[in-house]
Amino acid sequence: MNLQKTFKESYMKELRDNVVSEVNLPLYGQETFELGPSQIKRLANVYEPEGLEKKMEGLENDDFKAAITLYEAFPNISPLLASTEAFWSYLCHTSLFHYAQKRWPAVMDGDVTSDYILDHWFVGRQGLLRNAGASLWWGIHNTIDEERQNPYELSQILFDNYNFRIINFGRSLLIRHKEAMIGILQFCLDNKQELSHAFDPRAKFISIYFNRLGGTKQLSSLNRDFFYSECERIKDRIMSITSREQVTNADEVFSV
Amino acid sequence: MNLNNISLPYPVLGLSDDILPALSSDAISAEINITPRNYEFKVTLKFKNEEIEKQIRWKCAQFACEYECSKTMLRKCIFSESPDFEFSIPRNAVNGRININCFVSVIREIKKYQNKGFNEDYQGFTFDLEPGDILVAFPPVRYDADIKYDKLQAAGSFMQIRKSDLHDDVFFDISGDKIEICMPSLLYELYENPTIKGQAQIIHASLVLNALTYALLNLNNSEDEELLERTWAKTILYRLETEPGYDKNDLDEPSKVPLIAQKLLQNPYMRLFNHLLTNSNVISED
Repeated sequence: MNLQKTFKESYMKELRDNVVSEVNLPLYGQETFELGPSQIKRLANVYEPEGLEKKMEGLENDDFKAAITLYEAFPNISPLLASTEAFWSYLCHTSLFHYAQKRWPAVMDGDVTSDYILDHWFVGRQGLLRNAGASLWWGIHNTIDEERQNPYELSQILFDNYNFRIINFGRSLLIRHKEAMIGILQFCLDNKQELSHAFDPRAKFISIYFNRLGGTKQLSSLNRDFFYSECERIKDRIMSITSREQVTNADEVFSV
Repeated sequence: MNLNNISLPYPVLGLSDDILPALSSDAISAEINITPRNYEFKVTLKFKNEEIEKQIRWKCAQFACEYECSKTMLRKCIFSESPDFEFSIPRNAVNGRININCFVSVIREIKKYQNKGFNEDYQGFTFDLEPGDILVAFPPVRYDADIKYDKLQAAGSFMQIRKSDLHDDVFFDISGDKIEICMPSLLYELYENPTIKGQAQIIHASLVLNALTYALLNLNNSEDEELLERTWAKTILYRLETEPGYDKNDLDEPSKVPLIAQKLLQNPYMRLFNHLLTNSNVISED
């Protein structure tokens, strides 16, 4: 097996500069992205998964399947490596290049912006969770539950809705607290049918509710049962939400 | 009580005067031992408050230690009945800053909590507390795993020169983890010439000193709070806080910033002049 490659930091910055200056934008719509061999380095103890590009083919419309495929290609990489821009950026320019083009198709338009490419091929202003590869890998990493028969059962709930995963919970401290995510996602799973109507604002409500509760409680000391039963306790309030306006405008719905 | 910009709806023993006597300045001490694979922490907590000690004895509350690293989404909380924690974090599980926050938190409902030390604003009030509520909040401790503590004096630990064609002239980029002196291709090729690159004293007293001065001037004036999270900023602030002869507050005074920059680079002008004298073939006969 070959060692996994990554960008040299200096080269990645050069590529970024060329996106910021818009010099390289057309290259992201081309069939392949040419890289110089001297611009990459090999990672110790991390092996290149075989056939990743092929496995990701056709998954651009199914984030959940794409995420499992990518996670299983890199099941044991360290959080340190998984938090580095150079690693994800390298993948997005090589074995994930075609996947990223199809998942983020505005790149094929003549008027794609620098920010769009920085967000999905690098780590842009919106952070790691917008990167085409990192968002998938971290979504699984934060929700996989090895104690279940299907360890991805709860991940699927997170991946059912892009806003839920990236906007509501991706920006929240809660996504780092696995017990919280498991408790909340289990509630969503058990109430899937009822939540399906107006899921987006209801999920936003849940996320804001717990962020506010974190202002009065040390949430990291509480386990999945607490989060589940708290969701049960406020279930009527969750189900009373039917629009985003209700969540954004009404402070009283959040009284804890 | 205000805790990390959060207002708690009941009094909490901490550094403020919610409950008196407040925590002492040595309420938390942390030691770190770095092994090839792990960061090993020993954290010891100290407080004196009869009512809260009683709640711990009754198993209604316990000590909690939360450690987290935002870049790797690490967030763990460990518990103890004693105020001593020992834990180990794999080095490859963190990237940058590790924050450690310790508490005494409620684990079983406490009805009508009151404390003899309550500030007089709270006298006569009682509070019903639930699991997760906080009785004691110890001051936060942080460890910056990305600072190269063994190479603090080396400018390379917080600065680098690289090629960039984003601008036609040299510019300083302070948005990354190092202060970057970005040179257009043509200039960078000249810089790479050993005759130029070998003149470290000249480069330090010109390019490096300029870039560092620019970065320091921005450090305290920037509205971008993330700037303070950059490795270069943390490295420099750590030096200003721990090395003798610095006063971090001098950063607020723009006229003092060039002095700090010279000191951080260990007198670059002196080294420049000595270098010029040593390498000069011209002997003045004045």
